[in-house]
Amino acid sequence: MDELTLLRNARDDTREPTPEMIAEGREALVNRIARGDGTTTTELPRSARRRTLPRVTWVAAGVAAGMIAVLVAGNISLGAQSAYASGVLRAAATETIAYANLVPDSGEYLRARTHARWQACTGDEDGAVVCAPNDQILDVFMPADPAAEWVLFRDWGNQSGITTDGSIETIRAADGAFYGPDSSWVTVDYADIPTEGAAAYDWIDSQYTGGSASRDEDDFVRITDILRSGLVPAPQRAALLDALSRIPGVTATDDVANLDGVTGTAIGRNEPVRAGERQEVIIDPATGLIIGERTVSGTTVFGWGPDEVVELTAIETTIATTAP
Amino acid sequence: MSSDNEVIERSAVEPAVFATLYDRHAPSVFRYAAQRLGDDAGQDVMSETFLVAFERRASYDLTVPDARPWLLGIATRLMRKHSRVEAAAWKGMSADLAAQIAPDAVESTGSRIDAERLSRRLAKTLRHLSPADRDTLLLYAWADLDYSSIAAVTGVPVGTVKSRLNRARRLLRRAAGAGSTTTSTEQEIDHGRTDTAPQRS
Repeated sequence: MDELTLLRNARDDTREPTPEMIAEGREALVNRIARGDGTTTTELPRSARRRTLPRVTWVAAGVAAGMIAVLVAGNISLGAQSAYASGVLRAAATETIAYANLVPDSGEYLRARTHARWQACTGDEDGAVVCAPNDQILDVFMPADPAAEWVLFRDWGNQSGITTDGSIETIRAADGAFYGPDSSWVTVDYADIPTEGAAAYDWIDSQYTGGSASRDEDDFVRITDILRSGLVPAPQRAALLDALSRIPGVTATDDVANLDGVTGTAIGRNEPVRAGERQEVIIDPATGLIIGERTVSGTTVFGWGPDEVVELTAIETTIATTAP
Repeated sequence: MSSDNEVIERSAVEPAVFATLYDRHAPSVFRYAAQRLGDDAGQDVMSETFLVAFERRASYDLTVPDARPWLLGIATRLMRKHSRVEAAAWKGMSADLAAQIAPDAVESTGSRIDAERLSRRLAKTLRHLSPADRDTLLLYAWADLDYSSIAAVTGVPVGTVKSRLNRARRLLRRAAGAGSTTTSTEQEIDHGRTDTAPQRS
């Protein structure tokens, strides 16, 4: 018998976790899942259908102006809420005045930078799950030519056990498939999104296949999954904002600062099953751009009290002439 | 029953199914971690492994049906945070190891030392291995991963895995008192699997 077999003999195959250990670990995981995905990557998996991204030019549509006119019109308390939020979003989406759409020229990139403060959870010495804020930077460079190479620059911050060397990774991949050939950074072919609000809502709702706490929550999450990339062309983005307005339980809160301190209007939704937790996208009413996201706790969880901001991001979309 | 990669793929749109992966592999991750760190830290690593895996599931290679190597790779990286615990655990592990080594195994090493002395030497050798060599050796010997899986989860070429394994085995062999049989090859030759089953099983 060689030394390797001797070592294998030293392995204790009878060592098993107790049922309590298994239950605690499972509860931590289930709680994590129930709180929603903590990273963009987990919520932006695959889109086998995505082949090309439409090159959208200047469009005569006054989404931004409409949003200024209506969203800024009132300081909206959370109590004002669903009806008001639905109204302002729908009105904004139907306003049609010219506005600028960011389109990279040949050789350039549409760059979406996400500065995220998400929770990183670990187990402490007593076996309890402890979560702490961790800042990440995710720079996605989408080329003007959809067939060219995309680039993801990602700094995982203090989160350990992710990259083998340091916290930073730079990934290049065609079609935004940074994390495997079947993955894509954007979840849909933007050309598939109807550019009219009601149609966009029907399009989203028809794709519901179960899951989430409710159909409405699932619709809301799938729309915000698309929007948070920061790469959605303006006409489709306007239609998706309108679609959001059609989801029951939508709320609007003015003057919400993103992680970089830029203020906008937070569009969210109260889900009764989530004990009041709200997932929100923050919109710049002057441009209609998505400038961040935040999660507000509805109850005491992992040390946060009700109405405390659990997770916050800042999203900035610009044109870049080069990529790392 | 869905394979692991199918579960992970499905979890992209239905996150709750990811718990299936926990049900399948949590005991295996615990066994590996607890063997190295003790039960308490092993439980922490088991729990944290699946939290990290959930966050990182979009990076999973969906062509690989079995997620166990991926999970053990995450667990191994997480264990680096517990290096002090592991160092202490090796010191106190001699008796545990001795209990696991069957008498005929001691006999067949050709060594005259008893099981306790042998296990003490093994523990000391393991403690003094470099983290990379120790991870490689234990992923191979205790987690039963093959070279390519170890290479994938540790992010190094297969040749590096073989080199690390060879180096670690040389030291182990010396500790077991069979230094004269040290291989002269620079890299591990895939012969270790010819004697894979623990003698107790």
